[in-house]
Amino acid sequence: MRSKIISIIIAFMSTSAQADTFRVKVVDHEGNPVVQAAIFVNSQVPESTKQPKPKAVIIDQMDKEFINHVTIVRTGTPVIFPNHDQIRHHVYSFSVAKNFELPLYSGTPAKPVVFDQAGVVNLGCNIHDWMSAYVLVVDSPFFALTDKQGIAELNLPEGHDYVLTGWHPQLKSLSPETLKVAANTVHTGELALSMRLKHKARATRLPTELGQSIGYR
Amino acid sequence: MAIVKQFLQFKRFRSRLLVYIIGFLLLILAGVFAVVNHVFRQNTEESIHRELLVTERVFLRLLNERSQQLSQQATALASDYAFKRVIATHDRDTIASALNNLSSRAQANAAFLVALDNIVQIDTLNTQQSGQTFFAPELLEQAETEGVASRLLLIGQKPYQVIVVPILAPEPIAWLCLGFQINELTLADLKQLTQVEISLLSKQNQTFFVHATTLEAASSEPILPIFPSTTDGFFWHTQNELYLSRMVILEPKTKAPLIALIERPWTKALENFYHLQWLLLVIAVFSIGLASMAAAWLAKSVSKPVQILATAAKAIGKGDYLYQVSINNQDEIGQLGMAFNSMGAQLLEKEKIRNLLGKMVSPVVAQELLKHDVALGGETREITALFSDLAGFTSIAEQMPPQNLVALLNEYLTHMSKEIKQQSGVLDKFIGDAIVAFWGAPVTANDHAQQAVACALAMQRSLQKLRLSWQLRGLPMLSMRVGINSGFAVVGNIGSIDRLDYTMIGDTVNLAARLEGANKYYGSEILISEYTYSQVKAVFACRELDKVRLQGKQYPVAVYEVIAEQGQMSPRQRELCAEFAKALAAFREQHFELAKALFTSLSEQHDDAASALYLQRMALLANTDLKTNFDGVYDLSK
Repeated sequence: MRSKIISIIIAFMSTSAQADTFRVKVVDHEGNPVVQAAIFVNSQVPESTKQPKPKAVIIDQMDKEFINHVTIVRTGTPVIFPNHDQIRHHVYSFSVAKNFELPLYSGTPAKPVVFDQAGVVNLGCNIHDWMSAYVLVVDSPFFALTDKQGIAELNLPEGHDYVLTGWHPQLKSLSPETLKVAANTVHTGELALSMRLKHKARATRLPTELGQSIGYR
Repeated sequence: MAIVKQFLQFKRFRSRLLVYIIGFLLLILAGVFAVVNHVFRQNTEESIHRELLVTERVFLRLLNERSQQLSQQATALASDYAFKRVIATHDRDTIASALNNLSSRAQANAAFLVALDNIVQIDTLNTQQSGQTFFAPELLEQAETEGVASRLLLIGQKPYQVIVVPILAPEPIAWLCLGFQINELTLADLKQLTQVEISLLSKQNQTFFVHATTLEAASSEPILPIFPSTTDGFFWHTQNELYLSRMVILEPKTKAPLIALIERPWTKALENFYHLQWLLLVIAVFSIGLASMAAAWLAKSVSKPVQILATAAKAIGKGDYLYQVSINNQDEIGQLGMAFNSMGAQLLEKEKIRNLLGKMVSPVVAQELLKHDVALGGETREITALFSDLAGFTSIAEQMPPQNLVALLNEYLTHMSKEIKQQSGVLDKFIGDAIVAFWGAPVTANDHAQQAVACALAMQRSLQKLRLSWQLRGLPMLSMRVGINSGFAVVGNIGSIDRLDYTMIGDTVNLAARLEGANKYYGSEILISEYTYSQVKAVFACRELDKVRLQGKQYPVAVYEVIAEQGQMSPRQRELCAEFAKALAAFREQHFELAKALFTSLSEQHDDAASALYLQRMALLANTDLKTNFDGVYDLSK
């Protein structure tokens, strides 16, 4: 089992009066950046910082893949699953946080799916085993995904304590489990988290599905 | 060894030939059989080894394919959407039911649903049990890395092909574990493909457990009492079959690995050999039969002429030289037959010669001649020669018809020659009625003189008897004169190379002949010389008659008349001898008056011819003047 140690470095950038921008860098034990790791506030956020009712989020299905692979939404966010392919899809989830089905449809479903419970929702397509996507449902409105450099940026209102944590679809373990950001402290540099990742165990797409010729078989 | 020797003593050539040929053939056949047996067994073992090796690969390949097939089946089942939905319900009973349904689709014998934390949620073998850690966590790990895991495992002491696949929705939400029991049916399938016996065992605490086998139930009971030192081909046997086996350890990484025994029954592998054995046996019997016939024929072809020759040899041994064998072979045996026939002819020829020789010459000479090579030449030997003659035979011969004469002569000669043979004399020749014989050659004899004199007496006696018979037949009376002399003479084969006589020559012989003739003068029958006399006087009584001088010889020789054997003389003969000796002495001393008186008395009283001869001589002496040169020797040439 392969594992990676990821360090999350939270850097305090120069901040405005309302919010501080936190830069988070996620690297594995070899120093490689981890893409699409979720960084989010895992503590109660003050009422004043709460955002209005979340807007609808779109998870497209294009060329028999979900776009994007990882999506972070606030609790109560409606998600629309538009099908851009010529064929139908059957989007489902058996996750505890959200158990739903959009049986064989094409185009955009009439109703969005509201993710009203925090947790990890694994999306799949009943007719395409390799199609897999994650929706991380969190209670706080403060979250971000790491980019190609493994860096995530979080804008957090000033004057509050926050507990940050991270998540990844293959997350096995996280070190430290949480990062505490105390109010009115000067943040300099970056913070880091260590993670152990599981091997990716999922159905693979056939070469023919990827448009490659495999010759006679 | 002695027993073997005794055993090999055959009365019949045929039996010997038969035993030798068949024995030889059996030896060869046994050798061939031993070699074939060895080579075949070795080849069979080697080929079984190879086959087992190939079979092992096939077996493993089949197992692998089966595993892959089952894995694919399991993967397909794990992606059943309805089942995923059921799992999402978290309703244990429904999940268990669905799992049963799923496993029956795949015809699996056991199914497990394992949560991602390795805790068994549903176990179709033990429906009541759950919440335990999965028995093979390494399989889950493998399934996590490779997407599927397959292994042969013992579950509750039963061998299973265990397949673990993740249930993806679309990421793993649980593990589906399917168990396909390996039983006799599975092995039977493999057996059908590989044509070998397969047993599946496991070793636990140094004991082997048989889980499944294609062998007969009874024969699999005492399986593998000892652990083989090598996995590569070893023999082991049940109560009724020997197997050449290969041991394959399946899944060697596991704690109690399953072991597959790939077995080839030895007797079945040797079936071809047994066929060959039968064939060899048939060939052996056939060739022994043929060889027996050939031997019998050969023996007959040899022993038959041998028997014929043996019979012929017996016949020839009995003297049937005319016995001829007829062997129509062109080979050596035929040549032997021809040689035998010519040998018979030659023997006949030789026998004829021998018979003829016996008749022609004395048997002693004939024997001596046959013993040695006949060669010309002679030697000087001391012998005694005997000459005999019938007095007045010539005048008789003129009066008699030839047949009667020959018959008479033959009778006479037959009897005389018989006496000579009796006295071991050599009958030299017949000259009309005269007989020449000698003693002392070719066989040396010290008493040749005695034998000759004894023979002369015997001849006279034999003639006496003949005369009686002749008298009865009215034939004329005949008397025989015999002269004997002893001395050195040359004896040997004398003549030409074509015509030889074993005879004697010399003065000794001549004197004997002259003495024979001198009998006429003395009226005697047997005259011997002083040389003979000196050798026989102890045995025979003789009377000295005269001293004679032979023509051309200087010294006179005294001549004696043989009277009888010593002590056989009659008183009258004794008196005659004594008186004659007196008279002869008076004569020689020239007392002629006394001599005349004595000789006259003897002549009158004994009718003695010798005395009459002396009276005649004295009368002749009175008329002449020869008295001056008187020495008492009578000149025989006169």
